[in-house]
Order: sequence, then structure tokens, then C-alpha cells
Amino acid sequence: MTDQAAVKPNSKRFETSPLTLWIDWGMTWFIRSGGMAVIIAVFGIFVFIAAQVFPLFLSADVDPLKTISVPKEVVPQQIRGLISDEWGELPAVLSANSLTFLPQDDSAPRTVGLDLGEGSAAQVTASHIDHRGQRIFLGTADGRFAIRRLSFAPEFKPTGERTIVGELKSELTVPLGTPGKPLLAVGFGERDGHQLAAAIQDVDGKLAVIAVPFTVKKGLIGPPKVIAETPIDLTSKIVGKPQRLLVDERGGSVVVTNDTGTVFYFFNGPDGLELRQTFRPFEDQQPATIASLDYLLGDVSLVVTSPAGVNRLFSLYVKPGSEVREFGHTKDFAKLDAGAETFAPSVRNKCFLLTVGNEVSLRHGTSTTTRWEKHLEFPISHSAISGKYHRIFLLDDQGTLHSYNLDDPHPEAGMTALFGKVWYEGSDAPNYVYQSSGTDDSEAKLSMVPLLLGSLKGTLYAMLFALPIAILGALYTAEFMHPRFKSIVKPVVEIMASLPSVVLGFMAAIWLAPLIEEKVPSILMVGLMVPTCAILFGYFWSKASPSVRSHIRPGYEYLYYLPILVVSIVAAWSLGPVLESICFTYNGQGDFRQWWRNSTGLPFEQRNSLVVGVMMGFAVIPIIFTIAEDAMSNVPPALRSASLALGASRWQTAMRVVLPTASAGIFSAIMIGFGRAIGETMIVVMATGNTAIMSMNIFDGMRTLSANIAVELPEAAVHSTLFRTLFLGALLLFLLTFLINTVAELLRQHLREKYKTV
Amino acid sequence: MTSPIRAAFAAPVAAVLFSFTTGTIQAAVSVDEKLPVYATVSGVSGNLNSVGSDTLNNLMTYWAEGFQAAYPSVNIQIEGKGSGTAPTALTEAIAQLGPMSREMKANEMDAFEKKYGYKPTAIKVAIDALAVFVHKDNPIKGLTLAQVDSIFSSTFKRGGKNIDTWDKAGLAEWAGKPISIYGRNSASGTYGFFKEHTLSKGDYKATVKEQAGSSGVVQGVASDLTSIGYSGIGYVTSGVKALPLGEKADKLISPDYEHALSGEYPLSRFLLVYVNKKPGQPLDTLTLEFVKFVLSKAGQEMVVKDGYFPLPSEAVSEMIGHLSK
Repeated sequence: MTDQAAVKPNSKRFETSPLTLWIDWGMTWFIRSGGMAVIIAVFGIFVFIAAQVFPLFLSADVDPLKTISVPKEVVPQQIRGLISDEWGELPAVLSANSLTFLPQDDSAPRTVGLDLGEGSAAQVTASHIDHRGQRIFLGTADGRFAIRRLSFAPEFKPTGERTIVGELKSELTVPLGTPGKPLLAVGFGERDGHQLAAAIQDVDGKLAVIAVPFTVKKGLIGPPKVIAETPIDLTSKIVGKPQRLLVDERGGSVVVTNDTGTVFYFFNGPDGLELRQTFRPFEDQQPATIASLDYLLGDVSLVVTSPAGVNRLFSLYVKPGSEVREFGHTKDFAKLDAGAETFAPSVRNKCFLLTVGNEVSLRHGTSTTTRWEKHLEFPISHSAISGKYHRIFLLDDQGTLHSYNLDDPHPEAGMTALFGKVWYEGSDAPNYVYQSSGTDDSEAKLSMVPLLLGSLKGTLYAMLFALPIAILGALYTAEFMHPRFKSIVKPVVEIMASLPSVVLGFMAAIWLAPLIEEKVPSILMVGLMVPTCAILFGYFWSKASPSVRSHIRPGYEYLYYLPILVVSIVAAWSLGPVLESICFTYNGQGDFRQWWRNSTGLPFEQRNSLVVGVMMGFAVIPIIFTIAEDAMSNVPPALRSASLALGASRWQTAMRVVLPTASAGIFSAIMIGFGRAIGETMIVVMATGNTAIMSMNIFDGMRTLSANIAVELPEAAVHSTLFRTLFLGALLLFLLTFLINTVAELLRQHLREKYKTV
Repeated sequence: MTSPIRAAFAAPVAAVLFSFTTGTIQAAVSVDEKLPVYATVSGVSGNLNSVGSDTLNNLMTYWAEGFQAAYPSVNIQIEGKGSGTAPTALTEAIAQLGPMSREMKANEMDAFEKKYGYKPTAIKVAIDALAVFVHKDNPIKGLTLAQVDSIFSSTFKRGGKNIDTWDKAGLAEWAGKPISIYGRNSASGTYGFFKEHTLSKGDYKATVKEQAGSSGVVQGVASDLTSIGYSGIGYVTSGVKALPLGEKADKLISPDYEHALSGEYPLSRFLLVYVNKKPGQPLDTLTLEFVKFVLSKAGQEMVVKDGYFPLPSEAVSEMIGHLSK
């Protein structure tokens, strides 16, 4: 036995050991830094994505590089045009009888003849530079039409150095129209099998417009055969004095302007050239004449300026009520000081360069933005943009060539293009369209709006399907089901959550989509009959005598309901066709697809939002169910017992006590489900047609932001516009979930405060 | 039953096999006898990666198998998500071979050239007839290109009117039946080729259901009675029907070898493999031998086996000469 008095209280006993304090301190900081790291990581992702997206909204950056003078033998006043190679290293100037290459690497300029013969008859009187095809179309004083091809090829020295070698090749020289009479304007176009040359010719003071088609027979292998057809005289169809003439690159049309500002559009159809349209681009302006008229890349839009400097775009499209494509006024650009004197198209995108006097302006045809503009110290007489859209060449009236470095990697982006309604070439109204890639000369359509709508549409239909099932299921499991079954049901539902979404998507595409296509009325019937039967059963059960009800222990009631459920599903499924033949008839036959199309005017697609809603619902249900069920089960039993003890029924307890108390948790469950649905990718990619449409129709597909990233990322070159646009999609998703989660958290806090006292 | 070829097959099994092969077009196609026979060389080993066209995916796999049989120490990996993935992979040096079913676009060339200073080299490896498919039970006989444009495009650049039901495409018995349209995703070269040559560079309708692979398109068409879709001829199955096409309604041409080679079938094209060849230097041995194998008789027989059309020998010899320099 120890002596009690001898034992002094050891004060150390009440002190925490230093080790514990150390661990506590360490853990506090560990957790704190972990939390900070999460925030930093999320913020870092945000910054990274934003940095990728940012350049989309920058404008062009242009810096002067160098100046070169044309050699003395070239008279500045005789210069007819400027053309650049793809690399911007060997621009060339075209004059009346020669072409001069002006190398940018300080080597000597080189002049080559145009191979048109000697003397004044061989002088060039008309020229058109085809920047895209690197060809020059020429018309001579003696009435010949010629095509000269500029071939620029890189040559590699053994040291690895690269120089661009330019050559001029004769492709065609033919007399056109009345022999010996000078041509004043020429144009040429070709497409598989057909070529078309057109010209304005001065026949003794009277201006004639002629067009000559050629037929080319070409196999995959072997040289082509060219057959000339009879020339067509268009003069009689043109009122006034013809001024400017353009042939589109496919030889599908001839456009002629006259001195009073009228444009004549001849369409080259199967029956030859026909006058399809005449229009006055500036009929509301004073003066109404045309100062310049040129094709934008792709040759379906005309860039027109008036003498007062009004700059408009006219595109070919099928106007409402019409059946053929005609030019219509689609866009307006910023006003210039006067009518454009030179025009240079980019051959990589829809940009074009206009100059008036000392003013230069680089514009984009799709977004109508001015990419760059400047007042220079010299008057500009000719302009060109290099093939790669990275150099600008301007020739002044003294014959000095000024070259500029052009840094504008994303001209097709910008706020208007990404979020605004844009009137694209070929469409009959401004629209939100997403169609990122096409041919070299197609317009990039990068509207984020259909994708955003698609994401919301998919989420909406998925939540419509998932929410009632998940929440009601959770309520039943937590409040009414016998604990023994609950211990089976909950893990099973949680296993459902682990189903890979690619499997769900695969099932949706292969099995569910064709099934739903045939059985919409049956599904409708199931959706109607199952809840109705459940409510009816509940009603009759509550009216049943206690002796019947006491047969079943609480929590086992569903054993009675199960057969009714099965019967109601089977009955509803087989009643579907009956419903179809009564309510959804088309031409006397039950056909839901046709009925839907006919009565709503909306399409019915096999890969539709209903399929996605159901399958994505499957992916979302387990998550919402589990979290909501946890929230309800975690309501203190004392509350429940108190409610029951005061005489409330189980239903009243569930609705008035448990649901409000657990509402914050249930709300979290819904928001987590929402987050899962909006970011879901694989199911959407596989089960929809990825159609970027602006429609909320349930029997139509969609393209979501996330699916768009998955589908298009493999083809996006690093740092290209498409690449950055996909990142913009990611940023939008990020902001969307951020916004929704913030609002949800605020609401959740509010709910928690409100029901804290219950 | 009176067909002489059929009479030659006595066993019922053979008859079944026969009816299976006549369903597809390649039965009549044979390779050019003048094509070089591939001879193995020593010292070929290493890894070869191919990233690109889905149209060429099966064919690349056949070639890889054949090539690996000749050189067991060579390891070949093939990925086929679409032609649009080839330029990026070649530029980033992820792959030595970039199979494509369309020509490279200018801006794709730009990215490559920016890195290497020269352009990639295209090698023609097979001929394809891009086919427009409908469900096998669709009674339509054929379509003009203007009709196809009116079905697929929203811009109608070939001058037609919108076609959204089958009767508007000339199928009176299917009046009011909507056309369900399947197509490829934008990474696909077939998507680009079809857009350029059939839609005259117009835009697709937003309602075209974009599938990630050619087999997805064919599967979609086969399971959807009122549908239409397009892919390389090599993906044809018994569930779909490849339509004859043409500029004029009275002159529709079916997608077969003869018409593809003569250029009469309007959507015939070369299938290409892009490689990174430095100017003035021959291709590296491994890639060069693979290309030689592809362009050999054995390689071209595999083209036929996959349902595409083989190259004539003139095209092949010129190509090999260029690559060896």
C-alpha cells in the first residue's frame, strides 16, 4: 500500500506531451497546406486555361521589316501588280511586259519576260493576279489571253540553308474575242473538267464582254485533254459601260460592274452562262457607283467599296422564297476615307487588306473586325499578303517595296465570332454555328453558343430523368425500407455508380437508341402509368383495414406492390402501340416519328436527347441517391422519434421533419449530380450525333462542350485557333461549374441555417 | 443458279462463301502484274508509329502485319482517329507515318514547315471510291451529286433545293419519310474530301450525326432504315448499299475499280501516307522499306483484301524513285 499523503499531484500529468503538441502542430500545418495546395492547384488550372485562351482576343501586330527599291528598268508608273510567294521571301512586281522578283535576302532582283512576244502589240493591257493559285491572268493589246504560273520552290543547300527560287511558266496563250483588239479586263476560273475565261475587250471604242468555256477531260492518271467551246458574247445583257470583271476560281460565274454602280452576275450553269441577278450595292449611297469590287478567299463573297469609302460584303446565298444562290448584302465594315485603291486577299483566312492613299486597313471578312490599320508616310500603289499570312508587302508610288512582319495567329476568333450571331457565307441569316474545320478556304465557324446550349440541354434532360428517381428512391430507402434490405440496396446502387460511362454510352448507341426510336409511345405510357399505379396503390393501401395492413411488417409493404409494378410496366409497354394508333397517327397509321415531325415541325432523330437523358441519368442517379440517402439517414434519430411519439405518421415525419433537416445535404447531392452530368463526355459522344444545333427539342441531338473537346482535340494543332477554342470550351465549363457550385454552396448554407433549429 | 461460276462450287459451304464475297465489289479487282515483288533487306529494325486516317486504319494494320512477318524485330503501332490527327503527329514527331484520306491543308503544312523548314511528302498508297451508303432495304437506285449536296449541306452550293425527305430525292414510295444523316467528325479526311468535292466546299447541315469512325457511320446506316451516310468503300458491309452517283441523273456511275481509276466515278481519290522526308536525302531505311512493302505486289494485294482499289504500276515506280533519292 502506498502512502496517499506522500503522493504529490504530478503537474506533468496534466500537461500535454510535447510529442502530441508537435504532431498537432505538424498536422495542422499539413492539412492547412494541403488545403492551400488544392486551392492553388485549382487556381493554377484556371490560370493555365485562361492563358491558353487569351491570345484568341488579341488583334494583329504589324512591324516594319525592310524596304527595297525596284530596279531602274522597271518604271514605277507601269507596275500593274504585286504578288508574294508563300514564304514572303520573294515578292514579285508585274509590269507591262515583265515580272521582277525582289528577294528579301538582299540578293539581286531578277527580271523575267512574260513570253508574249515583242513590240507594243504584246504590251499587257489587262491583268489579274490569282494570289491563291499563284497565277497571273494577262490580256494583251493584240487581244490575246494568257496564263502565267509563278512557281516558287524552296531549294536546299547542302549546308541546310533554304532559298526560295521563283520561276515563271507559260501555261496558256490564246486569242480571245475579236482578233487584234486590246483586252481591258480578264478573269479565269476552273474546276474538275471545266474552265472559263472572260474578258472586257475594246472593239474600236465599244466595250464588249466575252466568255470562253473550255472542257477538260482528266483521269486520275494521264495528261488532261482541253477542248475549247464556242465563245459567248455577254455584251448585249450589260447596260452601260462595263468596268470591272471577275471570274470565280471555279469558273462558275462571271461578275461584271458598270459605270453607274450596277453589278451583273452571270451564272455558269449546265445550259451555259445566264444573267441571274443584277444589283446595286450602294443604291442607298451618294454616289452609288462602285470604287472597287473583289472576291474574298473562297470566291463566294464580294468585298465592295464605294467612292465615299463605304465598305460592304455581298455573299452568295439562297434568299428566302428563291431557289438559286444570289448575292445579298451581309456585312458592313468600318468606313474608309475613300474608295479602296488596292485590295490584297489573304489565302489562309478571310482577311483582306484595303488601302486608300496613305491609309492601310487589314480586315476580317467573318467577324468584320479591323485587325490593324495605320496611316503611313507614303502613298500606297500596290499591296500583297504572303501565302502564310505572316508578311505584308506595300509598294509606294516611287517603286519602293516596304515589307512588314504580320503577327496575327487568330484572326477568325474574337468576341463576335465566338459568342455573337454571325452571318456566315452561304447562310440566309445571321446564326450561331459551330463547324470548326473544312477546306482551306472555308470560313471557320466557332460559335460557343450551340455547345453551351448543348451542355445545358443534355444536363437538363438527364436531371429530369434522374432527379425524381434518385431523390424519391433515397427518401424511401432512408425512411421506409427495412434496414435489412437497405443494407443490400445501397451497395448495389453504389456499384451502379462505378459503371464506366463508355459502357453506358456504348449501350445507349447500340441498344437503347434503336429501341427508343421504335417505342416512344410505350415509354410515354410507362412514364405515365407507373407513378399513377404507385399513387393509386398507396391510396388504397392507406384505406385498407388495419387487419390487412398488419399482415405485413413495416418496411415490407413493397412486397405487395411489386407484382402491381411489374404488371403496370408490362401493360404500359404493350399499350404503347395502342396509344400510338389512337393519338399519334400520320396518314391513318400509328407512327410516332412521323406524327412528331408533322405536328410539331421538329425533327425526330434516332440519336436524341431522350436517349442521352436516360443513359446519363443512369450515371447520375447513383451519386445523387447515395449522398441524399446519407443526408437523410444522418438526421438525428431523436428528431424522428419525437415526431412519431407526438403522433405524426411515418409519411408526415419523412416530409415535415426528415426532408427539411436533410435539405442542405440533398441539395449538395443534386449539385454534385449536376456537376457530373454537365461534364459527362463519353455517353454524349457515343449516344448523340454530336450535332451542334440550337434546339431544345427532346427528339434531337446535341453537341456538348465536353464532347466537343473529346472529338476535336486530336486534330487541333498545338496553339492553333481550334486548339485555343477548345480550351475556351474548357474555360466555359470551368466557369459554369464554378458559378453553379458557388450559388449552390450559398443556398446550402442558407438552408442549413434555416433548419438548424429543427 | 445457272451462273457458270456458281456451278463450279459444289459444296453448299462454298456457295455460302461465294454469296458472301459477291456482296462486295472487290471480287473482280486484281492487282497489276507489273508491280514489284517485295524483297527483304537486312538490318531493318526499330519502332514505327502511324497516326492518322480512320479510313486507312484496317489497311495499315494489314500492312503492319505483313511487314512484321518479314521483319520480326520491327515494332509497329497504329492509331487511326482521323486524317486530321496525322499532320499534328508528324509535326510533333510522334509518328513517322501519317496516313490521310485527303490532302494536307495549307495551314497544316505551315505548322510542319515552321518546325522542319520543308514540307512533308505525300505517298499515294491506294485508290478509294468514297461511297454514299443507304440502308440495304432502301429501294433508291442512285443520286446525283446535286441531290447529295441538297441532302447533306445547308448551303446548296451545287444549286439544288433542300432535301429532307426521301420523296424529294426521287423516291415517291417513301413520301414523308425523313432522311436521317450520318457523317464523320471534322478530324476525318473523308469529312473534308466529301465537303470539298460533294458539297463544293459548302457547309454541312447541323443535323448530320457525326460519328468518330467510318464503321460507326456504316453501323448507324445499317441500323436506321431511312438513313444515309458516307465513308470509304472499304467499310461497305452487307447491311448497307453503296449508291451509284453522277453529275447527271441519266448517267450514274457505281463506285467500282474501273470507274474509280478512270476518274468517271466523281468521288474517287487517292489514299495517302505522309512522311517526313528531308529534301535531298533518302527516307530512313525503316520507313522506306515499309513504304516499298506497301507499294509492292504483296502490299497492294492487301489493299484489295481490305476492299479498296490497288495502284497501277506506273504510279508506283515513280513514287519509289522519288523516295530513294
